[in-house]
Formats: sequence, structure tokens, C-alpha cells
Amino acid sequence: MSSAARTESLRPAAEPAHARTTRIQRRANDIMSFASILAFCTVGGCMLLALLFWQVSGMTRMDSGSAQQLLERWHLLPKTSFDGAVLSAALLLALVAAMAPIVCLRRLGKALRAPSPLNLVVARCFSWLGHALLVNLIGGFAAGLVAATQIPQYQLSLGIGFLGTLTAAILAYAVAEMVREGARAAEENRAFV
Amino acid sequence: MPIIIELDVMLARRKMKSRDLAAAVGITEANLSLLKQGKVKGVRFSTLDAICTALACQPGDLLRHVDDEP
Repeated sequence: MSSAARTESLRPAAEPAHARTTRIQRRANDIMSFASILAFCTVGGCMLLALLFWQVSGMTRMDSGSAQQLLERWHLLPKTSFDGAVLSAALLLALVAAMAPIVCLRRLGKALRAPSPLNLVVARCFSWLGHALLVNLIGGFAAGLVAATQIPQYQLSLGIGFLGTLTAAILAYAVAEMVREGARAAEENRAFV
Repeated sequence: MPIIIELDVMLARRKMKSRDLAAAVGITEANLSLLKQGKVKGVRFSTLDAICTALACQPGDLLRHVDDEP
């Protein structure tokens, strides 16, 4: 086989536009489903934690021994003396920080379902996802800082999760710029007949 | 714009309707209308080829250049 024929055989066949769009829409549906599951788990987890603290604060007035036992089983507090208002604020902050990227992810999935996904709305969604990931980083760290004042066993750490979220935020910004550029090129292409 | 598109003239000469030309070329009537009005940024060679084939003419019969200078 000649080198030109070999090169030609290696080049992928041009995919029809509607097949590409259907594939993107399927991925968009996957993103929305994933975001929904994440939202459910996040809200459920926060409610469970809130319920636990509420139960403990109620039990403390009546039976401090059982309350302490419950907390020790959950590895949360060595003592039952904690400021409920401060912990509630930390929990709320953590919830907002966790939900921000999830909401943006869902909006991104919705935007990608458009017939022409290379548009400025999708670019804006990627930008907002970047902002939300930074909010998640900063909010989560702040919530942890507050929680650490109430739960001595809680330790703050800057591990791979922190770096991963930061990387994801930077990538989201980069993809937003690429999509913006692609949208401009698509608009330019539409002006040609 | 310095490029004038004389599609209307050729359509009249060939006694062809815009709808039929759009169908023959494979573009929408809206795009053909924009092309006639000169409100497009450019024309693909494939489209120009299809128009010339449908109208049995040359690209020079469709496009004319005028100077912008006053």
C-alpha cells in the first residue's frame, strides 16, 4: 500500500453532523443525571448531619452520657459542648459550597442539549462552572476552618482533592475560552453560504 | 460591499424561481435571499459551482467587483 493510501486509510471517516449532535446530547443527559444524583447525595448527607447534631443537642439536655456515646460512635466530638449556631453556619456554608458546582453542572448539561452546542451560552456555563469550583474550594475550606473550632478531631488538610478541584476550575476556564472561540468560528461559518 | 452579486439578473434570464434554484443548489431560500442581497460574508466554491451548474453560467456572470473609492 502506498504511503498516501495508508494515510488516507488511517484518517477517520467524516461523521455526519446529526450523529455528532446526538452524541453530545447523550453526554449532556449523562451530565444532568450525574448532577442530579450528586445533588441528592449532597443534600441527603447534609440533612443527615444536621439531624445528628439536632438529636445530640436535644439529648444533651436530657441524657448527656447517651449524647456523648452517639457522637463518639460517629467520631465527631469528644465532648458534647459545641456551639450549635456556629456548626449550623459551617454546615450551611459547606452545603452552599458543595451545591454550587452541582447546579452549574446541571445548567451546563441543559445548555449542551441545544441543537448547536458550540455557542456562547455553553461557554458562559463553563465559566460559571469554573467560578463554582473556586467557590467550592474556598467555601469548603472556610466551612472546615469553622468546624475545626468546634470539633477538635476534625483536621484541615490540603490534599489531592484540593489540587484536583483547583485543576478542574482552571480547565473549566480554559474550555470556556475554547468554546467561545469555537462559537465565533461557527458564527463565521454560518455567514458563509 | 465591493462585490456585487447579480443573481437576480441570471435568475430572470434563465426564467428560474429562487425556490427552484435553492432546491437545486442545496441551500435554504433564506440563505439564497441573503446571497442575492449581498448580506453574506462569503460563498463556498461548492455553492458557486452548484449555482453555475444550475444556471448554466460562469462565476463572472454572477459576481462583479466595484471600487470603493468615491
